[in-house]
Formats: sequence, structure tokens, C-alpha cells
Amino acid sequence: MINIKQQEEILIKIGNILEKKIIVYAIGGTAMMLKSIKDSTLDIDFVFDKKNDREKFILVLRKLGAKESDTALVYGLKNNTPIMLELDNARFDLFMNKVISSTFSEKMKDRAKQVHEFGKNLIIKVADSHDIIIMKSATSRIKDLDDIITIVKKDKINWEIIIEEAKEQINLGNNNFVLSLGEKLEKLNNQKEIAISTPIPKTVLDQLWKLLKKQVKNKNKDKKPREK
Amino acid sequence: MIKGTNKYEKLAESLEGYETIETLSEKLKINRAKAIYVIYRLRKLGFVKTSYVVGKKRFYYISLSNKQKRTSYAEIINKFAPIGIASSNPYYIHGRIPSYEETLIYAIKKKDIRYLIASLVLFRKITNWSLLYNLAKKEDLITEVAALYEVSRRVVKKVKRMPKRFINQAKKRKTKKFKYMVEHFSSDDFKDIEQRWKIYIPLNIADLEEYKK
Repeated sequence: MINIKQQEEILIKIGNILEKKIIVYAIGGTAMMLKSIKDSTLDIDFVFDKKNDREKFILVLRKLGAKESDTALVYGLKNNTPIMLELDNARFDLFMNKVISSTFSEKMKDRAKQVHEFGKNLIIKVADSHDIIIMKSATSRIKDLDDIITIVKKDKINWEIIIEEAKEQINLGNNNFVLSLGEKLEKLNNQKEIAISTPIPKTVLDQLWKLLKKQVKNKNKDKKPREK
Repeated sequence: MIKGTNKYEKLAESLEGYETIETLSEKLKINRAKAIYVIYRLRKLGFVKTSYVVGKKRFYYISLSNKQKRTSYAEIINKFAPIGIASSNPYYIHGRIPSYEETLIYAIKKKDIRYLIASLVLFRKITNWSLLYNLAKKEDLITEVAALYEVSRRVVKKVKRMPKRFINQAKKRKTKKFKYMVEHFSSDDFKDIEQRWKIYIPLNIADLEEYKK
């Protein structure tokens, strides 16, 4: 576990050691901490645009004494797993554009408007709340559902953005996305605190259902008829 | 029940935002003395920033993020500007305090009229003109700085004289073609400055009324 202050101190150190400016995107708990909606996190999740930037970042972490840890222990044998390094109490998960099954799309990058500069050369763009929800919908961890509840309660959510991003994720080849998002939102709606204070509009779930049906229809069309 | 420091962290998380002693005691259903004590404890943990409004009334900004050593360009501008700017997505800087020169360049780069109006006051604070020149050169904003400086000399009190060297260097950078500071906006009142620097200034005297008070 790492708290806001510890996270800031580590990132300033990294920013001061980096020789050139690099831009990374913060997602997950780190993004929530930078947005002041969470006070501690298990891991620091970053998405990189350029492989070169990730390598430079890893070099700096190693200089500070970070040790590589086993990705398979946390993520199993999934695709697009991050490079993981541990430094003090913090675990850095460093992704390249794809975060397990989801893609950190160009639209997500555009929406990341809050910028934090650490030290001389580390620029962190914070993922938008909608995109944090989207990323957290793709996992099956209980703490991610709790985080989604916190975001929905604290931020004003435009569900249309989430539907649009769901379409984008399908286009980018993330076929299971709508299903897992729909499941998470159903679960969310069943939570007492959300159902009372900020219920998810039924139209949102209907739209997701429609998207799923369309996906199934297209898949059936693509299937070739069996030869007799 | 949550005890000790953790209890106040949770409290700061739930209170996130602006409070006065009165709103806090109402929210937590406690008396005034206890509300003052809660603010005292939260401040000790670094969660409170105090600002003053008319009548010396205190406003407490409670946030977990206050614990960080961060500032934003908007915060620096707001320290001096007659009308503050509110930004939903500010640019935060951690671990150092940016100079006024850097802040001014950021404000021009934003291409936002509110930022330009508020940042005119920063010319009063500029002491390192060569740093300002170098930063402006890096962003290709030398003529913009020169033009805004002339506007600030007319409306902001106590703006120091710009070194002749800066003006001469800026003159060399002047192009024949007019440039916009903010797309499609030009001035009715600062035509002479626009003509001199070939820059459209997106401000009029009426926009800068607050500086005259």
C-alpha cells in the first residue's frame, strides 16, 4: 500500500532523475489519488505511448533500487500484461497502450485533461473518471467495484461517454468488453448506496444490451455455413 | 469505529471541498468549539488550506490532495489577479514552485481570454526578463509577450519597465503577417499595439475594468 504523500515523493524522485521529458497516463488507483478521490493504492498503474519512454522509466526505477516482480502471479497468463517493478511499498504496473483486454484509446488520451508535472521531467496525464470506470469494468476484483462506486458517487458521470467508448473498444477488437461492462454496471445498480443516490439510467443498460445483440448477430453472419 | 489519524483521513475524504466553521458544525452536527478543533486536527495532518474572503471570513479548503507539495499555475495567477480563474483541469506542479515568468508563458499558451486577463498582473512580478525571453523564444511567443506587456503597462499599476534589450530582440522577431493570440479575437481599443507587434490582442478596455479599481 502506498499513500498520496509517498506516491508524490517517489514520482518527484523519478522526475528529477529522468533526463528528458516523458509523458505517461495514470490509470486506476493512481489516477484516483491524483484526482483526490482515494487516499492509498496497492499499485501505481501507468500507460505508455512509446516503448522508449517505458524503457527510460524502468531504467530510472532500477537506479532507485526497484526489483522486477512476477507478472504471472498477479495477472496469470493474460495478454497485454504490464512490466511490474517493486520499489519500497509500491508496485509499478507499466503498460504499453493496452491494459489487459482494453485498449487505452486515442479518445481516452484526449479526455485525460488533468496534468501533473513531477520533478523536472515526468509529466503525468490523469485518465478521465469515465475511462477509469471503463478500465475497472474489465476486471473481476471486488476492490475495483468499490472504486467504481466511489467515482460514481463523487463525480458526475455522463453515461453517453461510456456507451461511446464501449463502441470504440469493440472497434478496437475488445470483443468481451460490452459483456463485462454490462455485468459490472448491473452489479453496481444492485448496490444499495448507488441505487438510492445515483442509479444508472435503465437506458444505459438497454443500449449496452443492444450493442451485445448486434455483436452476436455480426459474429453469426461472419460464420461460414458448414460444408455437407 | 475508526480511531486516530485514520479517522481524520476518512473525515477529510468525506468533507472534500470548501467549508466554514458554521457549515462544518452543521454538517457534522457538532458545536462551534468542536468544529474549530476538527479543523485544527485536519490542518495538523495537512488536509486544510485556508483562504480569506470579504470581511476576513475564513474559508477552509479540505482535501486529501492538500497533503501533497503541489501547486498549479492557476493558483499562482489567482494569488495576484483581481479576478481569479477557476479551472476544472489545472496543470499541477509537484516538488517545485514555478516562476512568474514560467506562469506567464503558460497563461499565453493556454489561448484562453480569462487566463490572459488574469495573467496581466504577473508583469508586475517579473524580475528575470532574460528567463522570460528564453521561455518565450522556446514557445515562439516573444511578440505576444511584448504586446501583452504594453497592454499591462496601460492598465496594471506598478508594472516595471521592460529592458530595452527585450524590446529590440522582440522587434527583430516581428513578422509582416498578423498573428492571433486567441483565434478570431481582436481588439478595438489596443489597435496601436496590435499594429506595432502584428499581433491581434483579444482584449478591450472594458474587459480590464477590475484592474482600475
